[in-house]
Amino acid sequence: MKSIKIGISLIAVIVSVTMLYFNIPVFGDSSDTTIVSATLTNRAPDVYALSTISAQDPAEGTTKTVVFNCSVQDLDGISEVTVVNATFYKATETNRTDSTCSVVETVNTTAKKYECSIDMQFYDTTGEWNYQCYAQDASSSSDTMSSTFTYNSLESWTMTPTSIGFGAIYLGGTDIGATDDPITLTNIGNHDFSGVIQVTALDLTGATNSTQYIPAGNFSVKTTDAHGGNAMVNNTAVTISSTSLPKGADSTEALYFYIEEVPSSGLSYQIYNTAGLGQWTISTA
Amino acid sequence: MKLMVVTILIISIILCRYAYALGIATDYGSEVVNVPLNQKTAFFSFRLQNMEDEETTVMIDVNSEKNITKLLNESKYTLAPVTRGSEFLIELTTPEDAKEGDVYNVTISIKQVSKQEGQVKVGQGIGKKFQVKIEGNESPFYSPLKREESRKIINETENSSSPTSFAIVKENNVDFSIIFAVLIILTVLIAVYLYRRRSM
Repeated sequence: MKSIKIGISLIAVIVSVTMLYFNIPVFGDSSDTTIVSATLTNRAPDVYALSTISAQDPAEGTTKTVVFNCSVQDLDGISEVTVVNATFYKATETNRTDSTCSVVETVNTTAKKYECSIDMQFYDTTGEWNYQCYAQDASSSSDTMSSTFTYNSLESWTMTPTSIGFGAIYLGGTDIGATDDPITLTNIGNHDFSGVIQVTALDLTGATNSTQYIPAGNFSVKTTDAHGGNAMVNNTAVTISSTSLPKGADSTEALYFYIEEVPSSGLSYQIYNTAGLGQWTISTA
Repeated sequence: MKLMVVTILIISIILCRYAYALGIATDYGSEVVNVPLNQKTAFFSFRLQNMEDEETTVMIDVNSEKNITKLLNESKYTLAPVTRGSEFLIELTTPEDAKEGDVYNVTISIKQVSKQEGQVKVGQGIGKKFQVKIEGNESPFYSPLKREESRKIINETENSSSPTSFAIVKENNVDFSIIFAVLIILTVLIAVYLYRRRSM
């Protein structure tokens, strides 16, 4: 009889210690023998798994959809979970969110796997971003889980038009703007190009008589519609002053091309172009 | 008006207005590539994007101090329309006389080859600079998959539709069914022990 008592005590100790250690909920207070009813308390949902996100390249001028999975359980029943959403965040950056992640699998009566899909903008900053899954139940109890992924660098911009002309000009003419001014540059990546825009010009040779040419040094480039910009140097990259092309949703910069002065002699009536020596180049260092 | 009677010069006539949209994507943090001193070669990758509706041809030029770089792709490459992720590799070879702390500057220059003829063509160029730094013999590489103290990484076997094959799970995600099973087994063992002891 004594052995049975010891055995029962041993079992009780094991059960108690285990339940205390793992914080297993109890449905009544054993120290109060007058209890005749018990109250079921709400158990918060548990976001217990996230899929990893590999490093992502931004997409030129558009969004990059990033997808990951998030697993949620609620011991009161998965139907208790009313909200599952996801957020990408980084200090000083705008949060990117999926307000409603969609169910991709019902694991069991207490757990589901969700798919969250978030669009990253092309101008979002490169670096380590946090991603978080949030779950909330009908009683507004909630849980989150987060991790990080890498958003890569994209140096990209557009330019239009891709050729310019000056129409008919005269010997000795001055301060002649290109008929197609400006060439507009638009930043479609997540890199800041301010101050690093360069133009490489080449002498324009005659289409009929290639020994005649208009020197590159007679041209200038500026960010405003006026002559007196940075003078070009034949076959040399010249950094244009005061350029501003930061990353952003609608970041543009205009370049105006001018002939400062047409040589007053030594040129005949013909077309002068880049066919002989090659194209001009707008570049970012 | 002397200017009115001299020769008229025509520089160009614009026939069409294309747009260029060239992009170069690189890994975050790749501005400095660390190469262990005892590692003879390393690689740097970059991806080109062309989101225009037409194909475009680019010229790729890689320059470095001490000529430590070698482009493993063709230097002239045509990108298909709306292309993302065309990958290029640069092999980096440590100079024989390299020592710890040495830094070599590398410049990648990508220029579009204009398809237009007979005009004042203006092409697009994108430059990318990075440094190669020689480090000690210990591997400087770090795992991009950082572990968090409260979490561990396990193989995900639940669903193949997952975007990746791994999942990050909370370590304290205790399976109560296992605990109860252990308790039941312990209880049965004790009961059997008591029963035998009593019948002895």
